[in-house]
Amino acid sequence: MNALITWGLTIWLPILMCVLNVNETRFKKNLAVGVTFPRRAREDPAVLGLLKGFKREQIVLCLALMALGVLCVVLTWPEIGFLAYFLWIDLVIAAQFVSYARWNGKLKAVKRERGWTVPAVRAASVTTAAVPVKRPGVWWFVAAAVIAAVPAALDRTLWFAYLLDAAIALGCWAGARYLYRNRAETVDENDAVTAALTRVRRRAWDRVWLLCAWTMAAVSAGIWLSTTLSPAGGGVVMLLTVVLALGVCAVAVALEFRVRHVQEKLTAGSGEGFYVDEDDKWIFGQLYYDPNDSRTIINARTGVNSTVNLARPGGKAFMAFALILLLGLPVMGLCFDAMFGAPQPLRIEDGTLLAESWGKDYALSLGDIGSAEIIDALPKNMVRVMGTGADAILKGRFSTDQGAATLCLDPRTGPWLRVTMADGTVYLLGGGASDTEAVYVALSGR
Amino acid sequence: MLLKLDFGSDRPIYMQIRDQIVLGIARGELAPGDRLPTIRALAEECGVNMMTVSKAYQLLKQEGTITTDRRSGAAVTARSGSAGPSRETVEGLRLRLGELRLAGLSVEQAMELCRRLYEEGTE
Repeated sequence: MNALITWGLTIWLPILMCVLNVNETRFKKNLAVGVTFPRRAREDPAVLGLLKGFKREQIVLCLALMALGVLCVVLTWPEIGFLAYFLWIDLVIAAQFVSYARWNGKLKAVKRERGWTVPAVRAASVTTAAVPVKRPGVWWFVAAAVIAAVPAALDRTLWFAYLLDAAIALGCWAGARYLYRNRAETVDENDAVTAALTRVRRRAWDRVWLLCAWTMAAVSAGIWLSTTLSPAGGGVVMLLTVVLALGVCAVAVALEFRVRHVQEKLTAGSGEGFYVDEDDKWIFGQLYYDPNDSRTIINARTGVNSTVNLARPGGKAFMAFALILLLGLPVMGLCFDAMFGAPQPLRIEDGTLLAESWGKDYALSLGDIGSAEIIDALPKNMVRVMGTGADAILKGRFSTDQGAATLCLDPRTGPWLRVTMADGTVYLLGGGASDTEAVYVALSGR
Repeated sequence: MLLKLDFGSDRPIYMQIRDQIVLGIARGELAPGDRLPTIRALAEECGVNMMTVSKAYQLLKQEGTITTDRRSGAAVTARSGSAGPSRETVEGLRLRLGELRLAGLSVEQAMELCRRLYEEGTE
């Protein structure tokens, strides 16, 4: 079930990337697949042929990656499920990047052949830069953070989750403020178009961050409401979080396409006379490198997104971090497989009952054990308070219809061992491959 | 109005900014009284250090092309036109005319070239 949710949350990634890349074949701001062209290139057979080829490759890639993803879901390798999942994500990103770079190179070659390369100058709009920028005030974000934090005072069990939501809401303000470069969207000498493009982009950027901040407030309030109204409703909390996260993603994607559409429409007549061409600064059409640009945060060429200048130390550090993260995903997959895999079989050693799992060991001194019994069914309404809940393992503190208990068990098959300590603490252990009955016999015979 | 900065040029960036603002005013793209971006905003726009823009603005202020105010920022100066060109401008023109003479242009040809460039600036 967990694997299905995990895959369900990301299986659409190739589709999104495909749609975004296919959209890159439509001329906007004189750009197609990261290459700046004059207006006459829009009727050039060689350019149009390459754009068609790029589009076709994106669709084939998307179908292949989706099929591979579905195959991974169907085969469900329990031991290396996360490894397969993270390798697949790396593959999706790498395949898209390589394909884009390849076709960007082909289009640049046509541009060179046709003599469409223009002298590199940096265009800066004095008119647009002179207009004061109106951005959403910090109080909009602070209000969202306060709403997200209030439940922490009312419900001490999940205080960390509420405060984390509040911190993310404030982080959204920082994102809106510092991850955007206040630069005009200059395409040519048309000041009116520049002003309109800049306004549309800024507004979309601010809206996404504001929406994120208020979503965090909604998540926090939703968690508090659902746990207050239905204390056993762990599933409701998860569902709420997933639905709201997907909602934000959907709005962000819709805004991205809306901005791209406006960029396409407003620059439909551009590309004659002077037009901005920064192709020499964009490696493979995707990575910005300009030592003469003093800024680290750079606006992506189309849409709403931001990227970094690889010529600046901050840009290099960010890219190195992103690379480490991407290359580290499979390692993370291995760790997750160990973390969410079934616990080790129960055993008794040196007067101690040992229930071990990755990252957490429970050692119960036999002298402290009050009673032990074999159970064939787990308590109902088990809600995780702190710990891990996966298909093959339940670990940590849980609340159940029989009271609070500490778990380290494989919930798929019983029997399990219920151990009550002398101080009244209850442990539920074993299951799966554990020879629970043998351990019970050993405990009883002590 | 658009600034086109050439980072491969020998001319310093602050001079390129200054030159293009002067030409922009001459061409009427910037009218007397028009607000200019703040130093921070123009530096962000051009992707250059704030000191570079500050230097360009100081130069323009010294030449009387713009006025700056701590609260309202920079604006194009409303000139009366009676002040005449500065000494630096006259000396610069003298040098350029000398170069045209060395290049073999007659007085008529040099005047024609000046007229054309002057008219381009006021179109």
